[in-house]
Amino acid sequence: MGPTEVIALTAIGLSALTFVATQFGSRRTATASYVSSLEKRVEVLENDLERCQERNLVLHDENVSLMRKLLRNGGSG
Amino acid sequence: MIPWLAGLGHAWRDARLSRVALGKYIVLCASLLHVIWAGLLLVTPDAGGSTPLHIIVVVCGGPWRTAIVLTLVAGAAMVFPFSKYRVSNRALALMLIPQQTFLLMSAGAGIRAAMLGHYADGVARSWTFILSDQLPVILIAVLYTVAVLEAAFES
Repeated sequence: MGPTEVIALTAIGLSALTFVATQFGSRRTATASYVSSLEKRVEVLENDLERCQERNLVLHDENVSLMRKLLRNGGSG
Repeated sequence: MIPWLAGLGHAWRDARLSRVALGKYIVLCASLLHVIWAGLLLVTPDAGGSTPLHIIVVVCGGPWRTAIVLTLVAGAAMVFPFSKYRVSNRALALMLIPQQTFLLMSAGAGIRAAMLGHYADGVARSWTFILSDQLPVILIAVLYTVAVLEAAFES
């Protein structure tokens, strides 16, 4: 194997290592970011529901539908 | 001004590779370098005798193939800063890593030339002369690798 091949293979090896490293990266796609924001929103709603239960507040049907509507519209009402 | 050129200007201003805006300039620099090398190879195959290009010509198997490969690689890399949506890490790697491979090959050839004390075409010089001459290509390869990793680990 000549020196040119050694250099080329070393470069390919380093690039392969970089490729593997990028696969462990924390970069998020647009879909992943959206799912993450939805998860946060659901967590907030769950906390609200818990607080309602602690205070013995009754969730009427219209309030539940309002909550669903808020969730659908991303909290903007 | 030509409308598409103005549009390209706006797209470039909004483009970002990662939190550090310098990343897109590193990719632009590498892509321009490869496209200009491809152009020079098409004008005259003599360009293939230069140290950073010689290794790529040997690997690709001729100046024409090298010119085509370098243009494709530069084109693929330039898609990344202009991509409208955030792409996955795998897509990021597929766009940028081929270019990184060629940059690392050129950097390796430059380091070897400095160690041996002669360029790829056989011209002998002191190692300090060759290293200072090849340093820009070596540094681009290092910075490019950092930019790829930085973009991959951006959350």
